[in-house]
Amino acid sequence: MTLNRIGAKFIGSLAIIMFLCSVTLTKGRAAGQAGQQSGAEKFKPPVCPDLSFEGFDTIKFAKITALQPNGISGLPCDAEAENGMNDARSLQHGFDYYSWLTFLALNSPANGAAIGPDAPTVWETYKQLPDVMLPNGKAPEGWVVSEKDPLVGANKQVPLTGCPDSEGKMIIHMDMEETYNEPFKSGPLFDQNGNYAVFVIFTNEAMFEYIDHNALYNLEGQEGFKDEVDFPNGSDGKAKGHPETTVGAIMIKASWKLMGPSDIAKPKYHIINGLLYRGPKSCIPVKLGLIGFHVGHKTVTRQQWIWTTFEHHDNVPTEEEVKNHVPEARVANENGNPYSFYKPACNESDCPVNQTPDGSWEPDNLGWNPFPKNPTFKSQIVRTGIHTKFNDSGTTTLEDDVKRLNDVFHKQITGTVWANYDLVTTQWPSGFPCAGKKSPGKLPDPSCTPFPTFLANSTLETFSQPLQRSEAGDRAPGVPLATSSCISCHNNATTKPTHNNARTIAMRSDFTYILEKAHSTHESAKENNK
Amino acid sequence: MTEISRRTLIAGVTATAATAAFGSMLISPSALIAQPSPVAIDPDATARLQFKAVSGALTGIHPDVLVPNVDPFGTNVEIFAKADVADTNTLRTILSKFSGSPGSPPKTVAQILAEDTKDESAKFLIRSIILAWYLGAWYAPQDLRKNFYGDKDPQHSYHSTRRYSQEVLIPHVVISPNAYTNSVVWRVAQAHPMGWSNLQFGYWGQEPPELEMFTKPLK
Repeated sequence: MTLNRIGAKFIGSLAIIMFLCSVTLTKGRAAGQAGQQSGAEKFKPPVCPDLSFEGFDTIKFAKITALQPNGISGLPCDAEAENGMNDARSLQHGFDYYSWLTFLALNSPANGAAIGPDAPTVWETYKQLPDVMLPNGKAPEGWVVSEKDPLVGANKQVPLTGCPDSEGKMIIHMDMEETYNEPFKSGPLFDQNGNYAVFVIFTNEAMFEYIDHNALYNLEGQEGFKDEVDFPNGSDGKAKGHPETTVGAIMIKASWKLMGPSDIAKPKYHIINGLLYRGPKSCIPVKLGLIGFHVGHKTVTRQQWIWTTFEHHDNVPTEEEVKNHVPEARVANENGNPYSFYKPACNESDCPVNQTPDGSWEPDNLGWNPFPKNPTFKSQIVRTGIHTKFNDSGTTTLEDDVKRLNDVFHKQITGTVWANYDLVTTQWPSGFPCAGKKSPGKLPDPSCTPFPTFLANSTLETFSQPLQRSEAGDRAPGVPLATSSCISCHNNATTKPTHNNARTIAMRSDFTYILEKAHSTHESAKENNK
Repeated sequence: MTEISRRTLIAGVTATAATAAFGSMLISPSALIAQPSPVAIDPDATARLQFKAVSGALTGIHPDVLVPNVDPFGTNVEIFAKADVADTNTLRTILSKFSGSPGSPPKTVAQILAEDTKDESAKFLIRSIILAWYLGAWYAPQDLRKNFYGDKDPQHSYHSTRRYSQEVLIPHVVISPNAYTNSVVWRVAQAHPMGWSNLQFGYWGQEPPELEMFTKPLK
């Protein structure tokens, strides 16, 4: 190799390093999990909080609130078991504790204040799916950091024809079936006002940057990607061989209810401004209330990701509550129906439980508009599951323990809307060391035995919840690959399949369906709208 | 001519394979059960841990693969319960001998069987346990005894009582859907039951993982 060539390589490398440094500084990547600008002191680099805890009754909230000077915003980088034990119950407690910290961190105000008064949240400044997978496979805009307080949609909603003035409002893409139809096209969920529940998907900065850097945002980029899809790991620095501390890839799926005047009058929900986009001719301002919240988080010790799910306390009653006539009592005590997706004292023939409406499910075909005068269908939903025991000497079930943990956290945030959100539970890969192995696709069980086996959110997997107790009896509470299980479902995720190019088939996509939503740079406008 | 069902054939093959496997099991019984028990209050907790160790020896599959630390399926509990109901005295004797005690050192399965000369109750219960792990189905010891003796013992033989049957089946019951889908036969075949697989997209076009990855704990 000649000196000139060595010199050229050195200068080239230097230039690349300088360029990367400048990009980092410009974009304020050090701003951390919120992707916020680090210019102000209130925005700190990500700090992996010390998750060690000894039990529900000894949670050190002062430690949690001290994670950052301005409040509860320390996003966990991984999970740990209670007291370092390795039995199922202690591990589950550790994951559920992790989930609550995650919920508080992601729902902290995006402006860095402590969680409390309702405000736009950290995760609402992340990238929404339609702003990553653009029509015609165009490259998405880079991760946006805000010089001022980040707003909903700050990052960076693609302007839509007929939908101006979207700053500070979350765009709800009703032109996408995934917005109103639940996974596996199992059906839409209608509230007691006759409105669709609507769904959105977001990625954090680490996940977005991986997609962006590897051009996985379009079909051609995916076809040209020869490696295994492997999103960045979260790491708390404690796993063997992983001293680094980093948040890693996070994806969020949230469900919203369209808020009516009575909902807004009673401040029980996290509410934001939204735009209901139904194509260039219809973009309607709405108030959105958070009803369900999923988080998937990839970590170095959980290659199948950790799956957290929360839902609003007033969504639906549980099976046991219905049996014990709790809904009727709540109606009497609260002067009206408190549930969004359940009508108390309605018989099975008039209000069939956990059923979808007949006929078309598309808003246009139904002639649906927000707050229809005569709703044609209102869902009657009951929460079933989790029905999980620990097979140990403890007398409480997983559900009992989660309820206890919810009570502990609710007390800490009492008086805020966040005290109305319940952790359903956390699903995690229970096989060790299976769950820490890279390339899980090469393992005999790539899912590494999810625990609990089944998990559903009543607003996000309404129609694939575990069986009702009366149906299940002593049998398993679900049907493998049919009853909702975060890990088992996402274990089947791939990149976008193509039927036009025989040499390229879809490949495993590391437990996310987001990559399936990529468009081709050659697609017609009609195909892009599919 | 007697027709042999697919299940009967698999049962025979797996029983043979497992018998060969436990003879070569190198892990000491005491090592298999020396684990912290989170279930000390449960009267059967120790017995189930012993059962886990015996099951590892009987099947040739590492006990931690059969019964992982976190076990959402509880197959061990289900099979233990079946065996306990079928013949609790024999089961407890097997477990006691296998795990040993002060003044009575642990015995191998071969030694236990060698002592089982009186009524062969251990032999047939052990077969039931092996079949349960491999097939996810419970074959009662007395039914296995009848099938084994055949024409040699006409009074107890299915071959004599069901001479004209199209298919001679040993009566059995699937223990549970989970016991079936997680049964060992799929592991040793590096395969999965029809209609249920955790393998990821495209697995059908690739070599399955190595056999040891199915039968031993991952390193």
